[in-house]
Amino acid sequence: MKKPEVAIVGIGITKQAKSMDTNTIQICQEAVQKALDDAGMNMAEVDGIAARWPGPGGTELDPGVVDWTGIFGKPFRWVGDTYPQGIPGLLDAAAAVSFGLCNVAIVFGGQAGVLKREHLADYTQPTNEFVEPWGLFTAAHFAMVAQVYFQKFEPDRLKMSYIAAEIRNAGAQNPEAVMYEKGPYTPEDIIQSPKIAEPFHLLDLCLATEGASAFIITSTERARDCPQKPIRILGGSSEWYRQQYVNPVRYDEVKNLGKEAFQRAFKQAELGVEDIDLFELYDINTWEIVRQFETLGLCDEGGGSDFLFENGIGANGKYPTNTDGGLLSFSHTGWGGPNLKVIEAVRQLRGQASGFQVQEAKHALVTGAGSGAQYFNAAVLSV
Amino acid sequence: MTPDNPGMLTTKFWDEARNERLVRPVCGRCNTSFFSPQILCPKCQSGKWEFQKSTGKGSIYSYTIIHRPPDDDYPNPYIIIDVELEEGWRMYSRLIDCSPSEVRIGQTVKVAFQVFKGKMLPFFKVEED
Ligand SMILES: [Zn+2]
Repeated sequence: MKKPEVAIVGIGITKQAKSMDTNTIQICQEAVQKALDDAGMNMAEVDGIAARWPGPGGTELDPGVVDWTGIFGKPFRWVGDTYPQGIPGLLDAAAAVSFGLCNVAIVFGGQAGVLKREHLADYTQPTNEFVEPWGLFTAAHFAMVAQVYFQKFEPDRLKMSYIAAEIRNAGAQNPEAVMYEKGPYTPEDIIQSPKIAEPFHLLDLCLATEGASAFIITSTERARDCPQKPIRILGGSSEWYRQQYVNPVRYDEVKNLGKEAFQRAFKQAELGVEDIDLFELYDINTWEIVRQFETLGLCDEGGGSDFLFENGIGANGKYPTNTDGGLLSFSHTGWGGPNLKVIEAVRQLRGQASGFQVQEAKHALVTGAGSGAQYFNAAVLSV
Repeated sequence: MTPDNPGMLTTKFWDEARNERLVRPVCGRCNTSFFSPQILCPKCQSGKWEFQKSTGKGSIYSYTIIHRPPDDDYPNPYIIIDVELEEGWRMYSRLIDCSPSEVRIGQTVKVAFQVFKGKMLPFFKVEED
């Protein structure tokens, strides 16, 4: 497979918070404008868009339904109704640019004014008639996958909790993180936090927050004229196993979800996992980090906690992971949340981190979704 | 895309549940039991399947104990299970009348119907040997 000649040339991120006194469209527009400023572009040059896309050409016709052409006051040559954002949006847009469907694509997402304080986010509680009656929510699906692993391998809970503590402590030092100055945490603090869905405790689980983010993709040729260092998309791939959050998801079926996507992404990038300086991995819970390192083949199944504890995942660790504080501490903005992995990788590779900066990072691995969601995606970015 | 009449797929499951019978789709061509109900058999894509009664006996593939109930109708904590039924199909449900410290992967369970929020639901109980 040929290396794609596409790059990320602009990123935009708004304030992230537990809840915001604005609305999703407004906050998305703000992120888009920031990304345009960062890329030294204006909307006139953007001819492709990957966002939730009910119209035009969509089938939801009620008044007030989002119409991005109406909102931005211009038509586009390419639209992707990409769900979720993050790597699926990144790869759709990269493909669209590579094929010539558009020259400049913008990927964005987020939410604002939708989360009620002290409540589970609605989107974490599917209304399916075979899901909802049991009191299931997304963290519980993941918990049932993890439970089998916990019984089989009896991982050292303190070492596993080191992972959550380290990621949260990165967020505690990052002024842009929702959980800035919350911490520092020890592994004991993670275990002592209230149990939510066993084997997970409160501090093992990701946030549900508000805010938006956007990034702009164009050809490496156009990228040369942009003010920021272009970040190349060297490879990427997805695995779609089954519909998320409906039928029982089982450890034995999804334990290696992502293995083939990793292989394809690395092959396309002509790199190996040993070349990766930075891991921006989907941390919907602590154990998913362990599972991803095991699936990457860096350690044996069941050995991930010991491996990461011994090698380190913080600023001085061998495997710097979720350097902004991740979904655990930085932010997780619903359908736009997966974008945050891309944003942080770009900032690190440019040397513009808002939290701790990994020195001379050249190659980053970004991932999305996970075992409990029954789909997974990964991409390799490079400075 | 949603099927033309999604209710048709599952109406019979809930009708039978009201009579405390647990049923699952069984393919008329390849005899596969599957769940949840789909338009086509996931193994052979045949559209000819029918609901058949299950023994309601199975074992716990996995479970989680939830300490944050969505509302006051739930006990705190409550137990969600992934049940492997003996006809080779699976479903999520709740394990009732079981102390959280007693639940184990691999335990034998049996369906136990109970009205919850006005609807007859197939919960499960641990089956004593
Ligand atoms: Zn069949």
